[in-house]
Amino acid sequence: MRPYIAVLIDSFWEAVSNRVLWALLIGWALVLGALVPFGYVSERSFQLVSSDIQERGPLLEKLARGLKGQGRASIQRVAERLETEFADRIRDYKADDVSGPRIRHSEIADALNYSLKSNSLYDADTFPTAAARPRLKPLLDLPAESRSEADNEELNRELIQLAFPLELSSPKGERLWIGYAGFKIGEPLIVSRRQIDEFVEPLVLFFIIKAGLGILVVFIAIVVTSPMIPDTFRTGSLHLLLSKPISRVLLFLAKFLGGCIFVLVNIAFVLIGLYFIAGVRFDIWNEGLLACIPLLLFVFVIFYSVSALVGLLWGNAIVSVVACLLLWLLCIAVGLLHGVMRQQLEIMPQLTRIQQFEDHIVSVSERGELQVWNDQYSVWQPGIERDGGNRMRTFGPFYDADSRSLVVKSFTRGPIGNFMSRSRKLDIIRLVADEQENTDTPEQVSSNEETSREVDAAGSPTVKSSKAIGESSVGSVSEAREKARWMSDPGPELPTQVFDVLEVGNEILAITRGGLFQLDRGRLKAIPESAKFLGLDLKNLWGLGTGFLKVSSEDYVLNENAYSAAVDGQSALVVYSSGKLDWLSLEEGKLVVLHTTELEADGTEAAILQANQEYVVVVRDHKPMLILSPDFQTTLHSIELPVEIRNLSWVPGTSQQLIAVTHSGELWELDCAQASFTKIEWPYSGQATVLNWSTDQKAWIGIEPNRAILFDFKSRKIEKELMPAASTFDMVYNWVVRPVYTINPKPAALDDSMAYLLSGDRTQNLGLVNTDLEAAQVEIDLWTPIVSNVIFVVIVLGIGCLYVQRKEF
Amino acid sequence: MTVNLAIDVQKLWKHYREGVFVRKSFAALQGIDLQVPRGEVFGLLGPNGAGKTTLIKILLGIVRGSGGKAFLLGDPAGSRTARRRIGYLPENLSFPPHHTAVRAMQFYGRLSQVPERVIKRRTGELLELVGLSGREKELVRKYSKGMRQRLGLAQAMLHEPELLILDEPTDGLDPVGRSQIRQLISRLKSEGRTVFLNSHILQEVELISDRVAILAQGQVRGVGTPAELTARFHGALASTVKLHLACEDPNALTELEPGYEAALVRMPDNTTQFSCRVESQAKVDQLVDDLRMRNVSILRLERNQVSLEEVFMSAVGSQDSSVSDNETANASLD
Repeated sequence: MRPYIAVLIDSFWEAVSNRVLWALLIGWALVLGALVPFGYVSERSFQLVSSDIQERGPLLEKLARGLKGQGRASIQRVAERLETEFADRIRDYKADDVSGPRIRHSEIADALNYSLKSNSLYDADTFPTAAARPRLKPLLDLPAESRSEADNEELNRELIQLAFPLELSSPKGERLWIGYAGFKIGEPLIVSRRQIDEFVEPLVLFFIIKAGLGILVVFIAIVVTSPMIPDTFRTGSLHLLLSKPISRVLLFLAKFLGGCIFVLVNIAFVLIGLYFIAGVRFDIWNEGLLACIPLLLFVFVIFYSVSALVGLLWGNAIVSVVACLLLWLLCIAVGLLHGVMRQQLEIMPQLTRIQQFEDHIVSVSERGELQVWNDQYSVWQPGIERDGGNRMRTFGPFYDADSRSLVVKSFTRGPIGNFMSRSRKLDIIRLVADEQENTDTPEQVSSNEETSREVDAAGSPTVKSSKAIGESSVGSVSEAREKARWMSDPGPELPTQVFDVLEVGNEILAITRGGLFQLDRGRLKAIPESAKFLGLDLKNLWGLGTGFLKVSSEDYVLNENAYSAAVDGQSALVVYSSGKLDWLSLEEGKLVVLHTTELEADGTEAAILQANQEYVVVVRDHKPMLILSPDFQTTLHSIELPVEIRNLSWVPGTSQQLIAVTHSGELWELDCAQASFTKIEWPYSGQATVLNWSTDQKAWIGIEPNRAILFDFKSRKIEKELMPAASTFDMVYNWVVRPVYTINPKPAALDDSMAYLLSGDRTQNLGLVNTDLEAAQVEIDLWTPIVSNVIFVVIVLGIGCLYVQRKEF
Repeated sequence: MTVNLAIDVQKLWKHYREGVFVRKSFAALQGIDLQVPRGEVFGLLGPNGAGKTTLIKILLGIVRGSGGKAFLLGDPAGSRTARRRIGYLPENLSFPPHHTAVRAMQFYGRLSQVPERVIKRRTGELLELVGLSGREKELVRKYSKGMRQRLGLAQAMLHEPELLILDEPTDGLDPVGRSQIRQLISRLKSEGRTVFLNSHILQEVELISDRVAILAQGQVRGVGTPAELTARFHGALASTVKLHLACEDPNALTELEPGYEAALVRMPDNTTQFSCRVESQAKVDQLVDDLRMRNVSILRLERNQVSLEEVFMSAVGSQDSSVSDNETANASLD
């Protein structure tokens, strides 16, 4: 091997003597040097900043009313301590008055900060619950004159929060800035340290590596190394090399490896530098950065193999670079097309809920779309007209037996987990109308559109017709895919800032930032289509107002994202928010907090909960699964899970067994008593998306992408299978795009592997922030891109070797 | 295959094929036979496109022969064993730009599997021998063509090969450099090494080669020592005698003119230049006798010697008119 080591060493020296390398290394050293002074600047602070103002309009309006002596006493007290000039500006403020003063978020924050200095904000009568609050109690126990300025600021901030729980985000007590050489840059960060660690850190590092190294360095490296092979195989030097007692193939490969050494030096220098800068300055010791060195080198190897082969064939470095660019463009194009189609055809159609209501098998897709199975055309037909973006969070469907209706509501998911919608009104689907529709002939359907819905003598909604679109109105499979099956009635309006909607016992509860609300089920009853009162359409009036009554206490406020679950078999629910876990019981129309506990966390973790009369199971991202006693007094088990859970449900008839669907599509059985977590072997392992028990032993299971089966766990047989017919897009994807993608090199797919190395997550969330563990997460396929890229490199280099061996130079 | 032959070429053919859709084929070597004994300095001559470089490439294993056999030092030409025992100086040699003379010697020495200590020892010796000592740490890209050629020669000798194949070794060298190379080749010969020389400079080949082969149109037109070749081609190249004569009677020369097919030129100083072709020394003697019998004074007699160049031109000249259109194509391959 000595001669080939000589070629390697010589290539290394060739690289070292390359001026571009030195220019690069110096450039990187300067960049890294410039990055060194970056760091966090942290300080204890209760001052408000712009991003703390959650609801600008309502806040100003409440303050304005407070200045006039209206509204709650706590609001009036805060308003009285505002700076006079600011108070004068907002005195007549009305949220819906567009001609009113334009007041920026920062001005409001400044004005409230002014009141933080007040020594007289606290008053026991005005803030009756303050003394009972764990965070305020120690401060209030101190005599007023013993409180430091910082103590006073903290106390006032907490009191202001009590006055405006919905309008302001909760105080964190710490402000984080990005700093440069100790100086703060810009506004404080709106994310916590945990979120930086778990989200921003991998994202920022990934961006630096992807954009800085993955594209820039690899491209520069290709430009720099592209002449190495053509120069070696130039006649003047080649004949001398070939006269030596060495193998041509190994000479070519050794020269190729020499080019790789050049890039390895560069990448290692930058990544080791980044590793230490991130560690020393930000306390982020991410070994994934070091593991990215071979991965980035591999990305380079993919392109360099093409550069080497083209350089060998054409003997021209420029042609090599152009070929690499073309390959890059091809990979990007194929990768993008595959990625988009995969998301639309494999991920978004996944079923996240499936249940049978009367004769209808209804599901909700990952896209958030309510769908109903159309047996005639074997497709999932849209349940109602879509009203949202490409990704929605759908609450429900809940079945109301009295009115034979489905209640559902979809919100568009925002990038940071927030929900957006033009209207907060529930959608009510009258199944009885559909039934009626299906009995009509097509002629009747058209005439029915103008007929009215009637309420019978007993008050139950016997509807003659609605504008429902029944199966009979669908004439083709494509129409069945597009046309909504039902037309919904507008229902009561959900409260603002809703986190979840649950069916607890027989009640439908909305869990919101401002507390918990119960739906008045009477509002679900149908109203005659033509019922009018004083010339106003009653149907529209019926939808007015929230229809949700607050059932939690006034001071029960959920600040951060809240996660909840109904307690199995009881009129109770568990709620997890801001690290606090509550057990609330519905007693005489009011929710009472029976038990509460603080879980060790920073409170921003997404969670999945399940509870029954014996166990409470808490699954949080990046935390061990906890099994608690119902009174929260005992943590029965803490289990490090080998998988990431997507869906949890109690096995009917048992009180200690749960079935978990994982993000990798497997089914696992959790025994709360034994603390055992075992994988269930079954025919569709690796493809499950959701599980909903139908009876004691049968469950509807969603199978990727959008199939569904009714599986009997006892007989282990499939009772029913819903397999949607393939669309043209499905066929193009399955027969063209996927095969092309499979054989195409996938340098970009290695980004996922890189993201895994940096974050440690085998799955990737589709949103920016993971606020919903039930949402589909794309499992990172670590090995397929590596294997396919290795095959590509081996083939390309193999062609190069064959050419070198056979060529008569 | 004879073991004491450094190069043994037997009926070697090489066909080149070109074109993608319309395949053209031409024979660069047409079944040549060539034997070079060990310890000999052997010169290979031939015009562009004759097949010289193709022959060298086959010997080195850079291209494969289409038929026939070739052996180097008893091993099949191109085999790794054979390549380990030869040193090669290519035409238009270029070194990687990051090489200094020392690094180049180190690199090529390692490729030839020379032990490190030997590389270290011989690098100094050889660089001094080729006149590069003192500049061994300079980058080769700053060297003149002549210096690069000397370095190429030094690397070819580094592993003390039994056979050296030198392709245009004096290319780019000044007369002093050429002389040094000639001395070097003589020294190699004295050490018992075989040198296979390919050069366009005929006088140089004539000066240092023990034997010469003339290659034209892919065929060996002649092999032998320069003297043998001259003698062999002598018949074809009838020599010319040129005499400067002085005589009182101009008719005396006119009488001789038809018999010798001579050309007479009256010079301004009243002398006469008499030129004719002679096939042998006897013919020259007879001419002298005839002139003296007619009282013609012979002021000067010049007889043209047949040089290797004339032999070469004679050997390949016949092809010039008949050289096919392949010439251009062959030239490019050479």
